[in-house]
Amino acid sequence: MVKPHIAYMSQRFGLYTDLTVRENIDFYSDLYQVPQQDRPARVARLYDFSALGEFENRLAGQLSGGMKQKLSLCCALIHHPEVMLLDEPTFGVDPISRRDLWLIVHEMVAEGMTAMVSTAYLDEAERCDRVALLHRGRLLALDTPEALRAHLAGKIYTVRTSDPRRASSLLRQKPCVTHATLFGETIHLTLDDWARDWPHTHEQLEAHGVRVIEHGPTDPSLEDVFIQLVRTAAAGDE
Amino acid sequence: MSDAVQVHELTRHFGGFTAVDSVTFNVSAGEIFGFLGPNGAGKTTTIKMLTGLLRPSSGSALVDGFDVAQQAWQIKQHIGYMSQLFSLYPDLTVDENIQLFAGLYGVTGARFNDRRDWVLAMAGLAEHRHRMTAQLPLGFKQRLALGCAVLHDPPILFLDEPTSGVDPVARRSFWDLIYQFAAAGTTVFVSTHYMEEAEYCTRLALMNRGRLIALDRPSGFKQTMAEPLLQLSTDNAPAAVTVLRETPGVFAAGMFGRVVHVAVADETDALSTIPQVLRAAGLRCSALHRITPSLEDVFVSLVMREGGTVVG
Repeated sequence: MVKPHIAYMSQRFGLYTDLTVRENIDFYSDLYQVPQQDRPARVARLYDFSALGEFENRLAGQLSGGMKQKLSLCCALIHHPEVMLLDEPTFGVDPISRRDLWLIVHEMVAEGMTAMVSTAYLDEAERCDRVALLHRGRLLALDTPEALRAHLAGKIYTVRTSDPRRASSLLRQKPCVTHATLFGETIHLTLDDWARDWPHTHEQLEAHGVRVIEHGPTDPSLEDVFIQLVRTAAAGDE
Repeated sequence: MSDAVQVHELTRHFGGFTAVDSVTFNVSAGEIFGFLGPNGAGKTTTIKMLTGLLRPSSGSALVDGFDVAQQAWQIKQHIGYMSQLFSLYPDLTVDENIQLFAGLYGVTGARFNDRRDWVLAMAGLAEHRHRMTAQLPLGFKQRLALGCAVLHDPPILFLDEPTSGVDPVARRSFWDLIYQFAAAGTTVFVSTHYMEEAEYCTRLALMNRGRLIALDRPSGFKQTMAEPLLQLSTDNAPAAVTVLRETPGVFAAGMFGRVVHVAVADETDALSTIPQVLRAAGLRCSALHRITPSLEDVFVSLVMREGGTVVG
């Protein structure tokens, strides 16, 4: 019987929208058979984290998106599970509420709980102690965010130019360019061999009237790492 | 460049509540304009006014030269709109969805054939055109939704949280398409909660409590964060956040992995006060130093400085 030991929260958690905040929490307490004598202290604690106490009598359906997610998390945690499984917990949640959700998760982890979080956003993954990268059913990598980023250390450069869109399409046509990704005004660029390939790449950009304003190595993001691993895996499949 | 969208003191009341409060900004043709803000900030109400779905209470907005209050019908013919809740019909095939949207937008005859083929090629769906939409992977659905939104070749495209829930690889290929549209002169208006997505935009507007509180390029945003940002390593980060949120001179404190990011009024003061406050609470301060803020740090600090979010 694993269910009493885990908490599961999905992006579309089963809150009852026509019950109040408190009624939802009571319902999940009953469902998980939380002893009556433990309930007041646990509810008080969860209210403390989530600031849901002042909305105790509001219908769950009338909460904002962020508050709904917090209530979902509180309901999932009411039975003091050992492991939390959170499936895209911050889906559609704004950055302010997202910080509050993460704070609740960290409070629980500080007490010895284990959290497993799935996310499609790699800036969220940066907040985890360890990250597993899955693609098409296969585990591509499993390590700390720092170690994953270290794979690409020194390989990614940011390049700012007078015409970023034209520059990125020119760069993508060159065989020595492994990746050229446009981020608004800057390009993240990976070359086969920076020392060998940058001078002629630079020349070619200037020859097409694209001025290079600045360039230099940058810290790779987890997203850079993920994309690179997926492309390498795809190349291996072919 | 000419302005594709001109917004002047745009305001919308609902009863006694002001959802959008005298908002003014312009968007140039070909720009990728990001629209950020916490839930309840007034983003959706603004987008509804700009797409001709809701009349402003006062102020004005021109979209592709048309007045949102007077010419809502023309606006609908000159914009594309795609939301995270795709408006696709799951029990129609890819082809049938394209036909339906073409009918809605009045794209007919030879032009329909051209546009349909273009959408199928752009979305990489040519070989899936007879599949039920419900059976497509999310990334394909998203590109089909985008294709249907631009069937009538609109000069302005509104994207409402376009990549929620799709994986990073699909997100990148989606943005490659957006850049192609922008390069061809389409103006793109994107609302998002994800800073990874905001980084792709050429300019960002941040709304809170109905007002526009910041407007800049992503790099400008990071440079203009008024408050110094400190990174703290401690033995109990969640407890430290709770303590710091009550500490005078601290605007915002949040967990980032195992460390804490703290926006403060004064760096020198904070470097001496924070270790004391933590020690008094029985917490250790193993490292505290200034860092360059991320877009998310800037977002949170601007919103907190403007009185926080509307809770509830």
